[in-house]
Amino acid sequence: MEANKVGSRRQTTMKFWVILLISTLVGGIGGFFSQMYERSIYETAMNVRDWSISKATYIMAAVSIIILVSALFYYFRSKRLVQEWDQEDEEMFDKIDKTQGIALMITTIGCILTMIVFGLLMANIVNGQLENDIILNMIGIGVFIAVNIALTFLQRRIVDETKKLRPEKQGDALEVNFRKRWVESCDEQERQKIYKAAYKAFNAGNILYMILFIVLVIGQVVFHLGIAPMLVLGIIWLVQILVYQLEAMKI
Amino acid sequence: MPLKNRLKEHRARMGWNQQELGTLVGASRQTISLIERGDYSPSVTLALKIADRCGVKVEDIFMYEEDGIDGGE
Repeated sequence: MEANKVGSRRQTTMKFWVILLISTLVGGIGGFFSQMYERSIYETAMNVRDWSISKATYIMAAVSIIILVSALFYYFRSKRLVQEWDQEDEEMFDKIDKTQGIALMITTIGCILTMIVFGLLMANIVNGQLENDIILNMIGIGVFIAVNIALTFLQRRIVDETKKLRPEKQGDALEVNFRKRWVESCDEQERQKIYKAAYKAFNAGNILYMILFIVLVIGQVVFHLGIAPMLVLGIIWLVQILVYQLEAMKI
Repeated sequence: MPLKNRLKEHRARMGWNQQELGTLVGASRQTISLIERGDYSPSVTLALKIADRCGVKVEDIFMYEEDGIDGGE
């Protein structure tokens, strides 16, 4: 038994060194080729950047329409299913639950996507374009504000529909402490599901930050990004790890 | 963790639907449904509450079986 443990530990250590070596090679090769093709990568990226900044208002409108239409589709579908539900059918309950979950997910994703496009709008304003662009940018900002208000109120309606399925749930989606109240009204099974989902997101975040680190290192070579992106990544990563570790130490 | 149960039978005997039983024991309708389907194992506290409400012992509702060995009878 002891020999098996030692053997397994050696294997794990070997795997670690192999992964480290492969990562170093990939990073080295990636860095070499990005240096070699720096000019063309840079020009392509700048063209994409300039295009997306100049079309930011149109992108904002397109994203807003797609998000709103999708979210409303699933919201009204869940509303119809709740009306048809006989309060007993479990399969129907699961179907409604899933539909409401999708609607809520779309509204959350929508807020984040519009936030990203808002960044493009700000870049356009900062670039100091001609008067026409300024008017277009203002329209874009107006759409951003309007769609986020609409999504917030839609989230409230979806939560209200959820409460028809789960009358024990507490909280108004517009409340500042909504998440806290909602989780407090969850039973042990629902909290376990939330904690599992949070842990999965935590792990996915850690993988993503590592990938972003590599991208930013290469990006520094090609685009001379400066320290801000790496600093932001570091702060986000540190906060996530510290919050997790400190909370785990409490238990 | 394998945890079979006869919750549906006891619930039907008491004449409750899942929502009513859930309200009595402080659990959601969905949790009761998941327990009955064997997709969720309740905590000791919840299992005791359920048994208490149904007027039976915990072992009358929940059975732990491992590798085909019946632990209850």
